[in-house]
Amino acid sequence: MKKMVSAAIRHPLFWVFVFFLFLPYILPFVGGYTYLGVEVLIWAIFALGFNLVLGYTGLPSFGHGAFFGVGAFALANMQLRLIKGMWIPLLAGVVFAAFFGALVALFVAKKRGIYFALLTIAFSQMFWFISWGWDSVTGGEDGIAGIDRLPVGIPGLFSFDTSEILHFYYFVYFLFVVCAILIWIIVHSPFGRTLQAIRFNETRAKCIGYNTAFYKWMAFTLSAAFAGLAGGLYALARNAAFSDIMHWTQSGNVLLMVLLGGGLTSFFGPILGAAVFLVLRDLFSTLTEHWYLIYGLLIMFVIVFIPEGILSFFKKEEGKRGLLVFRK
Amino acid sequence: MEIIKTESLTKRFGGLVAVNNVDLSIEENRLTSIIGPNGAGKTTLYNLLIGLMKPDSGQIYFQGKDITGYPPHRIVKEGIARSFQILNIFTELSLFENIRIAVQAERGHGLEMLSSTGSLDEVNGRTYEIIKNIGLEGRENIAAKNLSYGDRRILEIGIALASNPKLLLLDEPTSGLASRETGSMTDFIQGLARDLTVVVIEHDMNVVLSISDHIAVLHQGKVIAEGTPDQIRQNDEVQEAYLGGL
Amino acid sequence: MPSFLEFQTQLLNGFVLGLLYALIALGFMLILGVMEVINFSHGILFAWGAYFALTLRPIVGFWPALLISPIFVGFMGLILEFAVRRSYGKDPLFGLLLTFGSAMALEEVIRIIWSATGYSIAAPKFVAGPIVFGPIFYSKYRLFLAALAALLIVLTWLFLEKTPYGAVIKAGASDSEMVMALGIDLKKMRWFVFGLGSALAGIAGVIAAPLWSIKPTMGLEAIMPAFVVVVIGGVGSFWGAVIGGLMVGIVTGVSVMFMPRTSQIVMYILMAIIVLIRPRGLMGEKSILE
Repeated sequence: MKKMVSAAIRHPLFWVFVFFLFLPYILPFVGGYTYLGVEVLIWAIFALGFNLVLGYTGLPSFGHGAFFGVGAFALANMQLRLIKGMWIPLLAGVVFAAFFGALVALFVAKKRGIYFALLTIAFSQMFWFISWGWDSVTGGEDGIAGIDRLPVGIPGLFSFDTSEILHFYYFVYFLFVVCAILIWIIVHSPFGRTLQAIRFNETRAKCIGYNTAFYKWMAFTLSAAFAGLAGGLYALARNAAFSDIMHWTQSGNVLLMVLLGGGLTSFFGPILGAAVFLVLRDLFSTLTEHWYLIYGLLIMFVIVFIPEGILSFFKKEEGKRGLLVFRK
Repeated sequence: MEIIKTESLTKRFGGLVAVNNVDLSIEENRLTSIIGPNGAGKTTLYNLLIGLMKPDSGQIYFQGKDITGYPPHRIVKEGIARSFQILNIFTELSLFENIRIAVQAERGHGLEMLSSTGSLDEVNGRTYEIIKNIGLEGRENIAAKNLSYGDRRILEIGIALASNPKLLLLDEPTSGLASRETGSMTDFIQGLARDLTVVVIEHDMNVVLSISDHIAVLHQGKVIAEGTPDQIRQNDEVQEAYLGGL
Repeated sequence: MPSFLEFQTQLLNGFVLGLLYALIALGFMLILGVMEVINFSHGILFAWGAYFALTLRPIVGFWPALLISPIFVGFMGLILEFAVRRSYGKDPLFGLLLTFGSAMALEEVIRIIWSATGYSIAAPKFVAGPIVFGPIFYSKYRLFLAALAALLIVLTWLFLEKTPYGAVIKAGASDSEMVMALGIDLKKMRWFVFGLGSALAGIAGVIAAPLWSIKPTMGLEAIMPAFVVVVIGGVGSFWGAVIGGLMVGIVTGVSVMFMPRTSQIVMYILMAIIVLIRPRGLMGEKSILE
C-alpha cells in the first residue's frame, strides 16, 4: 500500500489532480471565478482526447468542433425529451459523438496531411450547416435552452446537487480525473505506441504489420467520444446548447490549446494549453471588445515563435521525451 | 523449392512501364541478388512484392498462395519483410522502440489499449534478443536519429527482422557505407541468409559477386538474365546494359 | 414543381456561381499547390476585395476600382506571406492555424473599419437590370460576372501555361530543388505566388460584391466552397478546380429549386460521394499532399 502511495505521488498526473482539486479555493485570490475552472476542465477533457489524434497519431484534424457540438445537442435532446438526468444524457453525448466520429473517420482514415485536414474542415462545416438548419433537433438559430444540472449520486445513499457551480465543478473534476487517467493508460499502452509509430513513419508502420487505416479510424473515433463528453458537459455548464458550439472556431480553439500548451511533445500540453488559452481569453476580452483581433494575432504569434508549445521549453535532453523512449 | 514467384507482373506510371511483364521466381534458402542500372525497376518490384503498390496486371504467389493485391500489413503477416534503400526508420523513437514496435506487431499486441507496454515481457525480451543479434546492444535508449549512419543502416534491417520473416527483401543495404563498414554488413547479411531466404538489391558488384547464390538482372523493367555469379559475369547482354560494374 | 423556365434560370445561376467558385478556388489552389499551405485567409482576402471596391467605387468608378482593389489585396497577401513562410515544409496544421489566425484578425479589422453591418453595392449601370431573351429575363450583371470570371480563369491559365514565369511556378510546385538549381529565387517566387493568389481572391470579391451582400462574414461563404472544390477537383489540378467549381455551383443552384433547405450542404454530399469513388478527386494525382 505504501509503495502504491509513493508511486502515485511521484506520478505527475497526481499533482495535476491535486492542483485542480484545490483550484476553486485559489481562484478568487487571483481574480478568477469557479466557472472559469469548470471551463478549463471541460476543454482539458476535449483537448486531451483531441491530442490522441493530433499529437500522438500526427493527424491534423480541423473539424473536432463538430463532435463537441454533437455531444452538446445529444445531451440536450436526451435530457429534454427522453431521460432526464445527468449520466444517461452524458452517455448519449459520448455515444452520438463517437458514432459520427466513426462515420467521418471512414472517409478520412486512409488520408493524412493536407488532404486529411481539408476533409475534416469540410465535414465539420457540413455538420454546422445541418445543425443550423435542423430546427427540431438543434433549435436552429435559437438553440436549446433549459438544460438543467440535476443532482447526481447513489439513490438511497447520497445526492449531490450540481446546480450550484462549486458542486458542478467537482462533478466535472471527477470526470476529468477519470478521462485523464484513461487517456494516460491508452497513450502508454501498446495501442498508444502504435499511434506514435504511425505519426513518425506511417509507411514503415504498415510494413511491419499495422493496418494503419484502422488505427487512425480508432484514434479518431475515441477522440470524438471525448469531445462528445466535453460537449455534453459544456451544455450543462451553460444550461443551453447553441449552434455556435459547432462553429469552426471551436475546432481552431482546441487545436490552438493543444499546440500552445505543447501537446505535440507532452501529455500535459493540452491541459496547460486549455488553462492558458482561457485565462488569456478572459484577460483580453475585458480589455477590448475586439478580442478576435488579439486572438488572431495571438495564434499567429504562437505558430511563428513557439510552435512546439510552452512545455517544449521544459524538455531538456532528447532522451527525456517521456512519450518516445522506453525504459525497462 | 520456390518461395515467391511473380507471373507477368506489370506496373506502369503514366507512360512509363517500370515493371514489364516480369516472371521471376526466388528459391528459398538461397541468397539472391537483384541487380540492374538505375531506373531498372528494382525498387518498384520490391514495392509490389510488399504490397505498397498494386500491380496493373500479373500475379504474385508466396509459398503457393496468391497474395496479389494484399496490403502491406497482410503481406508481412504472410512472412515477407523489406528494408528500404533510403533509411525508413522511426527517427524520433529510440533504438529500442524501433525494434519493439515491430515485435509488438508481430506478436499481435497492437490493439491493446488498456494494458501497459512495459508489461509485455515476451515482446521486450525478444526485442533485447534482436538488438543483441544485430550487434547494437548498449545503445537501446539512444534516439534513432542520433545513431551513427552505419548503425542506422543495421537498424533499418533489424526492424524488418523483427517481423520474423521467412523472406527478407533488402534494398541496397550497403548504400552510403564506408568500405570498412561494408564488410561487416556483408557478413551480417550472409549470416541472415543461413536462417531465411534473403533477396538483395545491390549496386556494389563486389558485394553481389561474393555473397550471391543466384543473381537476377533487371533492365528497363524486364529480367534480362539470371544465373550464378559466374554465368552473369560472362553474360554479354548484362555487360551491355550495365556498363562499368563487372 | 418548378417550371422549365425556372429550372433553366436556376441552372444558369448555378453555372454563374460555379464560375465564381472556380475563380476563388484557383487562387486558393495556387498557394496550396506551390507552397502546400491551406490558406484559411483566402476567404477574408476575398472579403477585403469587396470592401475595397465598396470604398473605392464611389471615388474612382467601377473599372478603376476593379483593377485597384485586387492590387491592394495582393499587397496584403505579400505582407501576410512573411508570417506564413515560417510554416513551409512543416506539418500542414501550422500553416492552417497561422492563416486561421490571420483570417480572424483581418475579419476583426474589417469590423473595426467598416463596422459589422452589411452593405450592399449596386451593379454598375452598364450591366444593371435584366437582359431579355424571349421569355427569359436574366440578370445582366450575372452574365457579366460569368464573363469576367471566365476571362480571369483563362488569363490565369495562359499565364501558367504560356509564360516562362508560369512555367517556373508550375515547376516550383512539383520540384523546388530543380527550380533552385536553375538559379531561380524560390523565396521570391513563393512570395509572388502568395500575392497572386491573394489578388485573385480580391478580384473575385470585387466582382461578387454586387451579388452577395457585403458583410464581415462573407469570407466564409467564399472559402468553404473552395475547400470542397479543391477536394472534388483534386489538389493541384487546374482544371479540377474549374470543373469542381462548376459542379459545386450547379449542384447548389439546382438544389435551391428542389430542396432549398439542403442547398448549403449539397456540396458536401457531392464531395463525400466523389471522395468515395475517386479518393484523390476527379483529376488529382498522387502527390505529396496525401
